[in-house]
Amino acid sequence: MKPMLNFASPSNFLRLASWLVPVFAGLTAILFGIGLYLSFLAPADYQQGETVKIMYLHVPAAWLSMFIYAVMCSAALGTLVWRHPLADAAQKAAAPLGAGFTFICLATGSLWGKPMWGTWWVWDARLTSVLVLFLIYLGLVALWQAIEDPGRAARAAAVFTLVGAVNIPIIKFSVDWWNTLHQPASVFRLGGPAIAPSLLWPLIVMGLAFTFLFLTLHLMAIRNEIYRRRLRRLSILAAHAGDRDLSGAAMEPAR
Amino acid sequence: MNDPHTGFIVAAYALGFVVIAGMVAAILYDQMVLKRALAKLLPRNGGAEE
Repeated sequence: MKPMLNFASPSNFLRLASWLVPVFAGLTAILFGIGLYLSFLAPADYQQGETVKIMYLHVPAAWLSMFIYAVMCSAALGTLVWRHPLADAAQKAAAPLGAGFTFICLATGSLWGKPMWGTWWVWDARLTSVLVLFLIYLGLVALWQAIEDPGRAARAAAVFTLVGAVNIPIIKFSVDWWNTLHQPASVFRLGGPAIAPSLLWPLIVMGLAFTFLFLTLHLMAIRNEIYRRRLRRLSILAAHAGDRDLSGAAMEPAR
Repeated sequence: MNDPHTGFIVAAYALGFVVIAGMVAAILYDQMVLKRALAKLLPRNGGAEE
């Protein structure tokens, strides 16, 4: 455990991130290029027509909305069990990204729902549970902003994150447990995907592109959090040094 | 693409692009501001890098 924790020290992380970020960014660009090209060439669905192309954005965003929450839960355990500062930074950095990708999922779902279902929104279990996930992400972002001390904020956010994790299986199995307008799982399901390979491959490439995009942005955002903590520490040190200078000046006899 | 719902498809991709570009821009801007502030506090140590 100790070597792993040493490896995860902020200084080592900055060194690792300095070469991982360009590599992941390059992979993201390549995967998006291939994924968008394949999506454009993919055949129209026999029922939905070309509208099925919204799937290549909606499904990867939906996948990331849950994947990011799983990453945050791991980081929350790192905060509560090992009190590791990098876990705090990873939690904080992931929340706005989770909110962004969940927003894409909800908005593209709405734009897909209107022509296919005849409505922008319906309060069924899948849509409502994803909306709750979006609100949890916003709540976490607000919580981080509301508590000034980073250590206390990390512990509060970790508890909130782990309590909110109950929503993830609800999202995943909502289409099985309740009668919803949203279709049942067609990619991550027992028995394999139910989508034709001509539609599935562009979806897999776009899913990988979104995943590498998140990894790139997450590394960059964690790096920013490390910088922010350094800045906070240095500002406090500078303020203390300033106080000492002032108190020293006060001790000098007036001239 | 002669689909009656082309507008919905274009809107979905445009929205996705705007949100992703916004997240990238926000992170890069944050990084720029933090590095500048660190460089002011650490003028001799090369700023934020170590």
